[in-house]
Amino acid sequence: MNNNKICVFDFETDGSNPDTCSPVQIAAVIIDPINLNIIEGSEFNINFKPEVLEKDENYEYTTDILDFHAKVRNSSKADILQQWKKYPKQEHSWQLFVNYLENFHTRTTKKSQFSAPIAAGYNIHRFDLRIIDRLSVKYKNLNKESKTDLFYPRDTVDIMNLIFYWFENNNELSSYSLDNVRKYFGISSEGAHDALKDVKDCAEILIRFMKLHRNLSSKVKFKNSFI
Amino acid sequence: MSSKNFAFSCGCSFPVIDEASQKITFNPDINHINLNCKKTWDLISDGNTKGCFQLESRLGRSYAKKLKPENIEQLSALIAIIRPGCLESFKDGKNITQHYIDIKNGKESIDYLHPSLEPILKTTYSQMIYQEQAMQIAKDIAGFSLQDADSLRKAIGKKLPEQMAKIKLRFIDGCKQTNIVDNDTAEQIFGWIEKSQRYSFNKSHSVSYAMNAFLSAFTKAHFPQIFFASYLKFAKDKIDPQAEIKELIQNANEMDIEVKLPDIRNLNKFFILKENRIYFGLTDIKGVGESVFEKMINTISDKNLDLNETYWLEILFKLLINTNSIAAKALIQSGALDYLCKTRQNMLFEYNAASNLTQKECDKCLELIDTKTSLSSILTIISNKTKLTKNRKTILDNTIYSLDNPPYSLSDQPEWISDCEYSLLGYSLSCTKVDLYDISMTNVTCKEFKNGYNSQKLLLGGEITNLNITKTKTGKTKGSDMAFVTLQDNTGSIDSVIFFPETYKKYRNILFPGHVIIVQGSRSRNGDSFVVEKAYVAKS
Repeated sequence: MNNNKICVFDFETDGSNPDTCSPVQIAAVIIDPINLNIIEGSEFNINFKPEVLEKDENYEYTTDILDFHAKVRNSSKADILQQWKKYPKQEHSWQLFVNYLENFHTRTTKKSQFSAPIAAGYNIHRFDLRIIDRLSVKYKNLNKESKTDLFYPRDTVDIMNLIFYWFENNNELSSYSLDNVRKYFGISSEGAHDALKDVKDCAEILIRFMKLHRNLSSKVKFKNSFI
Repeated sequence: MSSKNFAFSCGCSFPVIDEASQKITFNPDINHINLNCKKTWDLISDGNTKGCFQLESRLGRSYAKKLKPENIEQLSALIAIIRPGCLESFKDGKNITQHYIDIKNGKESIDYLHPSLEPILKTTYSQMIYQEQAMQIAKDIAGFSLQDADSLRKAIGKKLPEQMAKIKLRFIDGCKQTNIVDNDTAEQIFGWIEKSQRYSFNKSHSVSYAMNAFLSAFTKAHFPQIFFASYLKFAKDKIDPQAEIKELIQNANEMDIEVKLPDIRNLNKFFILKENRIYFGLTDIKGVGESVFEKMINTISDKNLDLNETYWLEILFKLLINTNSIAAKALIQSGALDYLCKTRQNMLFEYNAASNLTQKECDKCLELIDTKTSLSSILTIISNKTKLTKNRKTILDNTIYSLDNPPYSLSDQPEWISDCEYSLLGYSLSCTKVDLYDISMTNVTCKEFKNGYNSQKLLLGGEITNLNITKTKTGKTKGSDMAFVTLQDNTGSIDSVIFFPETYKKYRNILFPGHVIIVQGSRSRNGDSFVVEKAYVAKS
């Protein structure tokens, strides 16, 4: 039985390569593992000034990332860049994220990564967790194995994988992008690509699947099923 | 000195030393207290003996309730029969402890091996539970001298076969000479003495223990606040202090005694009793050690801080920032600063922000502190009017930004408060997990159940705080798993909620510590336990 809380999080970044990009926003919510609901007041949302702008205020992006952000926020590239320049430094925002996660350990004293929340999100294995690992190294939030100590070390939940398990032989779902999954499930796409909206949607999807699993697992006989 | 006495309903009275405050004097001397005090015997008979010498364990509490002792003789016997020897020695399929209880409660008849034993065993309802009784039998029936009788005790106790054989011959010979019992009965009595030495206890010890047990129960019955404050103070010396604190607070709550969160204004190192309320001490908070406490006291005195008149930012910059961070956070999270009327999350957030400031910036903050200003506005003044490096200015501006736009809610969620208090104090005083769940359909609380409430269908809700899975020893389902669950709600806890094998099999998926469940069932035949028929996970 899992008692660790589940942190659904999502980064918005200034690039598509998780090994080099900088976060510009991180949002998170926490799921209560017992009742399977989003814990009231657990929403987290903070912006980061991209590293390249910390080093050089006049840095010019050569990719189309500003176009992407301008499009989803219905804004101009110049406005987006101006906003990013005003955001708090990465170190500052990162520390607030670390402090936030500490509030959701299973213990208040003797905290360790084993009492930390379980990381969850959409496509986090290939993207968000790699950023977490990189920033954990940078700001020394590491365990003895030099891995991030912000999250529970064993389990992670990538909702994209979950979608694959349930839809790998279902032609109705044409792609596994969050936008497409949202549309398929009938979740409103208004405000999509805002990290907080994305994590809330992901959390609701994960809760539905977990409830489904719990319902099914009590009816399935696993023990000695290979005999 | 006033000559007036303060009298309790039980008749016990104590001299009043200050009429205005109704302060009384109590001499905790066994020779000066009423050994027939009904209030005290009722407390013992109710099994409310947490903290009472020799009777504070679950076993002691349970047997005190079963036996319902009414005098020191019976209390002494209780202390003797709850020792492992008696509990593990069986006669006619029942242990000696149960024999004694059943005879005392009239469920079993008194049966002497020989009428000559009656004067010796009368006080213990025909059971041989003291070593002194074996010695007395040897003296009266076999004509032993007290010295010889003591040799008998030692030989049996040390299991010396050669010496035993010699003593047995002397015992049988002695019986022939006194001619009180025949040879067969003499053999039987000696065999019984031999067996009894495995469990019998020294009466002189047992009576002394009983006196101490009565004295502690007397104090608990008459001065419960002082009793709990003292026991909580010394809970630190127990093997598991947090478990001890939890049990004592639960027991105090059941007796309607208020235990309050630590309050920094009291500046008390340990638990104290103030205005009929017990307050946690500051060093009773996990993470606040004695050295931190001493340092805090020195800081308060050096800076001439009047905590009653001081506001949050002053405490932050004059006290917390100079304290180690674990202790400072523990003070905030445990509720020791709640009187400042700021949420704990908010204080923690501002503490984290302030701990990133340089000493010079902190000094500047202190200069600018004013009751009307917020941390954000003070930092804005520093950022705008002080000469700072570019890096420091950025850090300050970032801090101001997050103070004005906190990235998460700074309200205190009940579950977080409950977790913090449980971890730091060993008990959640402000709220429990149960507060977050809908248990409105229940018809009994833990306290009501303990107090004897009964109905055909009992519905009880609470958090599982302990789960003990065991195998049944008898019956049709012998060897199957069953569970003993401890359920806790806002009124107390019950540690004997029983899931028998069939029910356990059905509901084992929801039986985990931390779950808030609702159980439907009935009171067990012996009246102490809750036997579950159905269980549900409570909805939040």
